[in-house]
Amino acid sequence: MQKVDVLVIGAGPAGTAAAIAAKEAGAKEVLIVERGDRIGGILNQCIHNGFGLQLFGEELTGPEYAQRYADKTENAGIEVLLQTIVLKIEKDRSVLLQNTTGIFQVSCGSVIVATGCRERPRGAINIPGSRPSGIFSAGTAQKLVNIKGYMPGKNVVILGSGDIGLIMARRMTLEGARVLAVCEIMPYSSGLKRNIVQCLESFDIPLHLSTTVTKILGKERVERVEISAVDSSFKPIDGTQRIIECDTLLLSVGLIPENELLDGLDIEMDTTTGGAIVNDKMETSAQGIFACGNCLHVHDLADYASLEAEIAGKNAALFTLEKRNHTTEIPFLAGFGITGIVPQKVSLDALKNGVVISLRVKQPFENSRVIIKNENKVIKEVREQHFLPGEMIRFTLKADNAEILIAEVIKND
Amino acid sequence: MIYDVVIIGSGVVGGLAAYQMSKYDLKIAVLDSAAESATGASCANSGILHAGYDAEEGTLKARLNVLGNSLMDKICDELDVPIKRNGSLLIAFSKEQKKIIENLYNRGIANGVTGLDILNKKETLELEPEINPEIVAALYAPSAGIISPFELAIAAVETAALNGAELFFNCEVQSIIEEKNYITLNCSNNQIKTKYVINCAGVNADKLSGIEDFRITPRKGEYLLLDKKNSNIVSHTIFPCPTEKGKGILLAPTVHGNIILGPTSTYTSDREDVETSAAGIEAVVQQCMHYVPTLEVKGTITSFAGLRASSNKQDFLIDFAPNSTRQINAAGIDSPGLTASPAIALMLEQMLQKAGLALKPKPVFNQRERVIHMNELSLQQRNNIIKNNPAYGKIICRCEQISEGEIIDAIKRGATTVDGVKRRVRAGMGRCQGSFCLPSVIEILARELNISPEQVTKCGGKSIYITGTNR
Repeated sequence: MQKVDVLVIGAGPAGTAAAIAAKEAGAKEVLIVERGDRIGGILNQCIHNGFGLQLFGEELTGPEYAQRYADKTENAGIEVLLQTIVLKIEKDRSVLLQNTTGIFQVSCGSVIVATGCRERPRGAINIPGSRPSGIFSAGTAQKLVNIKGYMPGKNVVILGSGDIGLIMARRMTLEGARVLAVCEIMPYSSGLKRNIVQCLESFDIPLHLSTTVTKILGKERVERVEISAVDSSFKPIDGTQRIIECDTLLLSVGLIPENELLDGLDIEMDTTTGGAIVNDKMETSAQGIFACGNCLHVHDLADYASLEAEIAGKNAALFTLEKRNHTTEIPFLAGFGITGIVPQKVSLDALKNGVVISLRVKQPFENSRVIIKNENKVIKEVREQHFLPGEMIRFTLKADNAEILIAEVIKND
Repeated sequence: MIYDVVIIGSGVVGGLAAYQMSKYDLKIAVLDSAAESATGASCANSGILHAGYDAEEGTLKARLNVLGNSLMDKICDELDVPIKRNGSLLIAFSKEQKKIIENLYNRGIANGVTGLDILNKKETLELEPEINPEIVAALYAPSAGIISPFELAIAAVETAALNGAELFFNCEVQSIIEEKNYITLNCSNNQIKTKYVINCAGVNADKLSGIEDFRITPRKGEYLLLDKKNSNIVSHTIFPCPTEKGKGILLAPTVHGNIILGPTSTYTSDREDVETSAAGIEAVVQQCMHYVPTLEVKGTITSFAGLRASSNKQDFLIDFAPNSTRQINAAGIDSPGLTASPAIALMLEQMLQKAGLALKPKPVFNQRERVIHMNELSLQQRNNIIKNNPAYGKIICRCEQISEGEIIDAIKRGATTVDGVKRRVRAGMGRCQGSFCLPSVIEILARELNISPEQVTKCGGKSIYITGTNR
């Protein structure tokens, strides 16, 4: 059986960054397993720019960003197995792989799961109506257009104003399709502000807030969709229905961290992030199994996924090399208005040196600030003009001592 | 050329009839108005093997249900189709409902159902701990089972074709004219002559039945399908007490490890109306939450609707057309049609024989080669297969772990569309519902069928995915 110090599952922005960091931290044999046919993961189909500002100080496209990491991976002497899928991770950290050469097992000092996320399908939101062709998740459409060179439709309605939906509105328009509407069930967009401006407003594409698709019509191919305004509990308001003639419906209705490989390992999961519960080392509750990137929690920017993965990579290497200190961990809890905290547990040692914390607000807040309390004492404040659920809040938290950490939103005086 | 037997429709009824008749030295054709087999009720139903206590004693439904149930293991083994005898529980929440259960028990006994038992609350909860503890009793039917209806129909049609039956897809029969020595079928794109014809046209069977006062009014059923992660919620099929509207909304595992919820029951005038509705989905969820309060429907991966070919006759109509000894109708086949289908096929065979068709068994009858389902095999077996054909090592559908080799095999066996691939090997049937694998499946179909990706459809007709190339 092949033995490696660190096995990384996924060669996207998180997996590659984790592998490189593991190598730098002293791991000798680092292996990346990637199910796709090239390094970069979903970045390869994200041909728009906006990547790399945080990490490289310049605007790169997704493939350019991926190439930087592909080069680094190669230079670091990291082995990459492409078109290889992980069938199972065992508790003893042996991992079962499959590709065209067969099925084989690799024994791993530590495992980093960087499997990314998938898009919520139509069924998850149960849009009524028929089931013709012409309904695509935005990511599928993006792959067809940007990787395969095929257009999935001509007259398009997009449901969901997450970033992929917004990017695809622009992309389809540039390729000659008509984007008739972007509908968003929430009263605000969950995408980045810059994407609303650059992808919708610049092309006069209407964004309908508090609106959803209430019916899909068409026997063979989509022929029409019915959209309706929704009330504050997201129920369609009768009488507001409106029909849009179109041949395509793109769904950008949320991302689900892909963690099926963790099933059966008894790993503690966080229902707010959809990922594993990790400590500041990005280690899950199963010893030696680490998680990072979009399978841990969905990020706004690839750069942040890479940065987080570096922590996982370094600590996965140290785990294998047995150079870890075991310290007391304290929980990090979500208070009023807060969700999706990562890491969910922090060690006091790490806290002394500073830990990068990510969290989100549950709903938009104005004239408010996010505070971090140790029991009842405020130890950190984050101030912004406004907070939006679509924008991850990221900061370094440093403290000499703490018992229990709570993040919450409070109104400014 | 004049066929001996033409079968109209390639759902489970038409498919199994074709399979049965292809054992004899006959010229057979199977016609379907769709691009693939099993696109009507056979692709959107509960996939339940009913025990046979529902239908009134003496009806065709009662007789063919019990017989069909007993034939199904053998047929599924021959055709290499998954089946599981998971047993069913019909639950009662009140004394009145318990009475209904007792009546059904007696009816089941009269119909010849074996193994029936009335369980008390404790016994029921021991079998299914997640069931609502407010129940008072349950009718337990160990002979009930689950099956993959579309795989059954597809396998039957494939095997019939392997034994010489000719398949005509996208071929809609518009009229049947009985002439002196043969019957002429006027179809959308050709004309076919045959000595005998069996009408298994599902929701459209009344139009070809030749009976004026026989009408099919499709009864729609809406379903939800849950992620495999929910598979341990129940192991038996859970039925409520039946009402005049039918057997009610059930909750059951599928042979592939998902959980299915449904169906609703609403009449529709449109024979192609398979739209789901917010109200229908809501009703299904409400009902099933009542049976199993811990049920989590947020793991829904898809919802869909199917049409039952319910007729004004109530019972199945399996008979010669009026004043004919050469046209047979197998019509109005709603529930328990799937369970009854092997028995219907035998009945049709006997009718043809009675009508004068000579049935001479073929010297050699070939079963189809068993389908390789990689994720059901041992590591050693999988490794051997990959060594022989590396395409079986390349995973295309990551959710269901379906390899390129399996998809190519499905196409070689007759899949011409994305739905055809999906129904044969489950690519795109998992939790992402094809988001990741659709582009690859389109490419593989185009390559194997030697067509352009723009010509690849979801299920024939205008159901294309790609409308052009980039600028």
